[in-house]
Amino acid sequence: YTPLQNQLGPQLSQEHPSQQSAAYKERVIHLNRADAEGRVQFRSNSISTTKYTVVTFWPKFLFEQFRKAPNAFFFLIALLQQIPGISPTGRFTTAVPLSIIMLLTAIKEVVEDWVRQSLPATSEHKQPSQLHSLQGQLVCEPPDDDTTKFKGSLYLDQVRYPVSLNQLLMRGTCLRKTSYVIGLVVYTGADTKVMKNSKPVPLKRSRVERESNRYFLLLLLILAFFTLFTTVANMVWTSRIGPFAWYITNNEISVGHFGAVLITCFIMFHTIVPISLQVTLEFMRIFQAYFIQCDLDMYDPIADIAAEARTSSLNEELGQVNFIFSDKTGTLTQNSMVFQGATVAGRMYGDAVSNGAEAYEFVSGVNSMRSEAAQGQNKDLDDFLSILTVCHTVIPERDSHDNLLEYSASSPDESALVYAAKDMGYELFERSLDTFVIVKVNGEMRRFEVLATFEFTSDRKRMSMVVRCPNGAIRVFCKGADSVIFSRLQSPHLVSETTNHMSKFAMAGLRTLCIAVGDMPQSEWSRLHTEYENARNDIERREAKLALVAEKLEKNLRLLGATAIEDRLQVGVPATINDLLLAGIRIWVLTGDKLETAVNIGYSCRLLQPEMEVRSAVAELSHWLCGIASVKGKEPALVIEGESLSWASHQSVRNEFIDVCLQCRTVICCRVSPKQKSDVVRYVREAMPSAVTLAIGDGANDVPMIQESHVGVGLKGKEGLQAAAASDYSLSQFRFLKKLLLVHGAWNYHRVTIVILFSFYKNITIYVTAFWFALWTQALYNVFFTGATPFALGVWDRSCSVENCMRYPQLYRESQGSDRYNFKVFALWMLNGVYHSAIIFLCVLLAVSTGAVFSDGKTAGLYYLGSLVYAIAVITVGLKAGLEHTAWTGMSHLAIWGGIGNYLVFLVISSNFFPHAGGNFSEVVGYDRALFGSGMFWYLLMLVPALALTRDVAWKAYKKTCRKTLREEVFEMEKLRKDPSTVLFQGTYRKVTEKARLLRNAVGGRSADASANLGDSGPAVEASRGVNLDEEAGPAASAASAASSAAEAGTVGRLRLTVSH
Amino acid sequence: MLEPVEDSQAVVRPEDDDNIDDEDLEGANNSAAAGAGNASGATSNRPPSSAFHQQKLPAWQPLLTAGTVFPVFLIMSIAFICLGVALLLANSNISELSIDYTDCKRIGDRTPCANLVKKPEFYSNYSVCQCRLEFKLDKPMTGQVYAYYALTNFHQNHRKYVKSHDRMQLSGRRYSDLDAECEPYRTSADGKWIAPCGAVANSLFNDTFKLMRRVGSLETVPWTVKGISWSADVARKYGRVDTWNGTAKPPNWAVPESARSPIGYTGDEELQVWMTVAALPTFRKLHRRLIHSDKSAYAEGLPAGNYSLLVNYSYPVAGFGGTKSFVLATAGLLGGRNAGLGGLAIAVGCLHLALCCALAMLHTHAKRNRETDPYYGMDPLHRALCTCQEIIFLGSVINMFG
Repeated sequence: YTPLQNQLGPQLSQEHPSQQSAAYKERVIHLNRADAEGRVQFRSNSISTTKYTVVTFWPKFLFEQFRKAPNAFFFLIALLQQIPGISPTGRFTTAVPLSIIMLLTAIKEVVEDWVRQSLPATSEHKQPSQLHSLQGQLVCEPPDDDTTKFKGSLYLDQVRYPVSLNQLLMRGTCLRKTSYVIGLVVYTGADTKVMKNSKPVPLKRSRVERESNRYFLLLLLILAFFTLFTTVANMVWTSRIGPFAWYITNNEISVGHFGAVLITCFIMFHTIVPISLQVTLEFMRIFQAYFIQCDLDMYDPIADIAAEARTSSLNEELGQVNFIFSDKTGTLTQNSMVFQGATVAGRMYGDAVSNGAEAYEFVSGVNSMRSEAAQGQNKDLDDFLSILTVCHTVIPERDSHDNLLEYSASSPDESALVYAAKDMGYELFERSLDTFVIVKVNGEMRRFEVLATFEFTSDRKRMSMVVRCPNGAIRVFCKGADSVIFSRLQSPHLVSETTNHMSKFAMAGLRTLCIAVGDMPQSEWSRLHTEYENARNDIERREAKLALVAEKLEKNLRLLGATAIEDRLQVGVPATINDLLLAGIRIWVLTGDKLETAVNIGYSCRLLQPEMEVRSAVAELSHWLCGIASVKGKEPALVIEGESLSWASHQSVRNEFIDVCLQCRTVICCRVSPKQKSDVVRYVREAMPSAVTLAIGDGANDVPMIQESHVGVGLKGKEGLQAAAASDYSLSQFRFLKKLLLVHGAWNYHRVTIVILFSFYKNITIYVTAFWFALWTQALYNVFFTGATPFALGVWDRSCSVENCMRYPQLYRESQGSDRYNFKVFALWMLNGVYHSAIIFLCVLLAVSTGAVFSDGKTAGLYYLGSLVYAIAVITVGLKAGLEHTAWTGMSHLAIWGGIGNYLVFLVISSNFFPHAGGNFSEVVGYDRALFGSGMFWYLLMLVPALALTRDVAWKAYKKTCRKTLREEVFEMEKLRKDPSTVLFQGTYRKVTEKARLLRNAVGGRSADASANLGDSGPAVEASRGVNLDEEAGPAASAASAASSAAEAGTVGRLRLTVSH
Repeated sequence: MLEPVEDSQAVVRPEDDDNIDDEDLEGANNSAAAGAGNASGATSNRPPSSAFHQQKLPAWQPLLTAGTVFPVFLIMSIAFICLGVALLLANSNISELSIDYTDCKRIGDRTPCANLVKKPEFYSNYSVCQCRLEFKLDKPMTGQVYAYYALTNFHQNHRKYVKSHDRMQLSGRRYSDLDAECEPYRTSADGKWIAPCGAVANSLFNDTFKLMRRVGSLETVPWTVKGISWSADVARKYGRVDTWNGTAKPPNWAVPESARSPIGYTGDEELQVWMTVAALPTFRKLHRRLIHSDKSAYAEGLPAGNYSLLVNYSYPVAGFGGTKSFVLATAGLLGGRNAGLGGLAIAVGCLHLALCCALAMLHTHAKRNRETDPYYGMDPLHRALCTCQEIIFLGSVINMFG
């Protein structure tokens, strides 16, 4: 960018802002005026993307925490325990752990938010003194969120200059070619378009967590049942036996008594809800997040960037992703273009060859082209390369020694072409804007005089130049999209060959551009020249008039050929996308790019595949609606433009539109604004509430999408750190997504769900024995004896090896659905807990029924039974945790045996060292010897866990023999050192695809209804549907339609269907 | 255009670099990683590469299939069945004799003691209903013999009851300001501290027994109260009391604690046994240990013959539907006689044996299937068929044995 003044050339403005209705207030900014009128108060430039501020932290944090049902529940318990004489477990057994848990969570939140707070404020500007004298004012639109529009007028010395989006630098823009710009601040802080597009940082919770909250309610029901049952039983007993049980005092029934018993029972049985679960999960996730950050496979050594988990609460969500919404530029592609080949005068340089799989690889034709150009025999090639060197807006930049530094271009495609031409001996040597271009061909300088330039616009889809060649002839150089070039040709000569070649380029995912040349007699130019000058000088309608002139020039062209440019994908993108698709994830691309580019990228990253039916919906002038007719044997894919999207997302047709989209294997949305990106994510979330969405992007324009999705992934790319700062996970390469999802996601999902299930199970197991007996036990159970076991499960368990997770993306499908964590699974686990508790209790009951349990005839009582039940429960639960481990690391041993050992050590300490501490410690004096000294203890210790876990072991063995899941199958193969691919691709693969088919049917069922609806979606819509095979009806066929004819031949199945008014 | 120098290089790049497949990718990664490793240090964000950080800790991954599990079940079933048989054998050597004396009648007027010993009367005059029970021991009890009393329907585990005591008082560390849980047995009517306080102590079992053997005349069987309580209770849980000043006896007691054990609670083992509250409403508590002095008739245990039990009946249980029993028993390694323990072990052993067989069959079956059928276990329909076959197979095996 050059300084702003230069940029403010007279430009065409469609409407004067002041002519707009007074519906909104326009913004007036005065230049350099500090007086009263100039002092208009705008918003502060400081912005914050953090979740909390110092003031809002505690209220927001507490609200967020107590919104979690378990926390609210424990808070209630802690309050109830404060009633004197009621609590069976002491006054602080819940309050203290809860406070600790809250404090730890608060610290975690603060740390995470601290990391998130990395958005720097705008730097202070130094003003060159001469600018102080500049007077004037800028009238423009009030702040809004539309990044595709900006209109305004700059008044300098009574002269009005129209200002448009071209002059607006948005927040987050990176300066590339200049070290500074001088500009006028239009919007500040929260008023900036980027900030208008962003929403407050959402508080995200994972699906597992949301479901767990539901199951928590089930547990509350059980708790209510236990409480009521026990209370009523107590009432019955008290009324029947109470009056006669003279040894018990105060044993009469009253309302107060009832209330007290109720609360006591409630407090006693509340322990079936594991209080340690929340904190176990929190810390487990911190470790999981830490391991994500430590993963060397997700570390980019070149950029020296490791993966970063900016939040830890979504680790398990990574294992359930159904949809990925990806940005294109900078995410899938490197945004650097490379010239790969061309077709010139019917000869193709480079070729697309099938690589055996579905995709085509492109063999570069640069070398053959270079050698041919060096011979200088081919006149067409000479013209072709001359056009590449001349017809563009690239400026060569040279240093003081006249060495070429770089070609400076606004579009990476253009610079790629110029570099390619230079490589072939046609060096762009010097260029003066709008006057001449000097090209150095094999040492010979050729000077082209520029007579007229018609820049590339998205409407025209072409760029033209009128030049006087070194030999004096006036020629029109034109490059542009096939559709626009073909309709301006003199004859269809070369058209079929060129389209054939172009379709091959397209197959390999290359971007194509047609090159044509026209001759112009001097007389005709003289006539058009004046018209051109007039148009150029028209301030109000410059573009429109220039377009008219161009229309007259660009006639009777001669087709030379077409170029093929590769938009270099980031490393490993096609493979990653292929694997993610195999993993059952749908990938949608949301990009601000042009439709053609987006489609090309779709092909080159294998998101669109030749056997797919691709339909694009391009907005023309009015509304459209695209219905998908089912094409047998072909998977549909939809390409849609932002403008169409905004219409399609209108309330009345949105559901049908989304249904159509969901039916497609992939959807590519191009030319969409940041807001629209997030809208698309929202629509999908609304349409499929159970699906988990992930958005990945690298720029500030991806921030809304990242925030809207369940999981936001930011790439720390060249476009700044805004996306990464707003994301939940940040990576440096797209391909790392695969390991993040397939390994970390799958593992963490397995871990988190098993830990939740196990935590509930263990509390049921121990505390339901209390129900069986109405006996209370120590509150330490949760923290020290069985606390580490779920932690080890949650941090170190590995459900499948990294290699297989990565090699067989199909395994991901298991975690994606809710097969392994749903109501049924939860209920069965809880039932298992009840069953185990019953086994433990009944066995101990049988053992102590005589009362004399020691070999010296002595008798034992209540606390002996409690300790026995407790010890056996600790061991049973520990062993059950072991059974659930798929990988016993040293940590697992430490946690399981350590937990049991902890209990034994605790027993020794508590029965020896605190005889006078009061409370339970005084009661259990000597219980270590009582337990360890009784044969009964050792006998039960051996027998009961073995009996309780018999069912679990036998069932597991049965299932792993007869009803293996895919993951278990692969796991077994891995153990037996066999190649798992045999199971994957023989039988089980069928099973997987079967599942996938069912899944598709489930989605498709909806869509089938929807498309049925589409058929009669109203006369207005019906009337607006006109279907052409190509946008330009005419004799010239487009490359795309040629491709569609090739589809019939069975090679390429790309059909382009444009629906227009 | 982002990095033009790189771009110009990219144009002249050799062709083999253009298509990046997985192998290339790995190669690139490795070489790049190695490069970073060489240039190690200074400002690298490279995460640590230890097995811990890369989640590659060595792990034991047990494979729980039928094939690996059935031997485990086999070993366990053998172990448990052996254990169970041993326990049953040992159990048969434990003798036990229980005499329910709830309804025994007063010596003289043959009035049922249960009718006389009711709460109000009992409180006012500490009356004792003396009754006698005759019984015959067919076989001698060998080994150490213990005398227990057993109560039924007595809820020593009631929450309010359990709480109603003061551990500090019992350990001898507190004389006054007793725990409020002791209410209403905390202070006496004249404001003295009840020693020991609370409902548990107040309801101390107070029947006394005298066991006599008929050898022509009645000969008192010698027994002792020493050693009926846990050693830890005597040594640490219950303490000495220096002074009994300012204390009162619990209302239900006939004599104060100072009369029962002048040195304090540590000497009152009966109280200690009572205060180790029972877990279940039916319970047994150790009352006396028989003295088996070398040269007496009781050196080997309790000889067979006729016995007479003199009961000082003063503990009311009939009101709440309870019963009282006097139990004479010996003890084994796992305490009193309990055939259920051995039975449980045998049952678990049998269960494991059955599962072992089932899993072994499943294993051979699955193995055969895997070898002959490439689609083993994959297709749901086939799987259903497989299950059917299994059932038929199992059935035929059962028929074979049956």
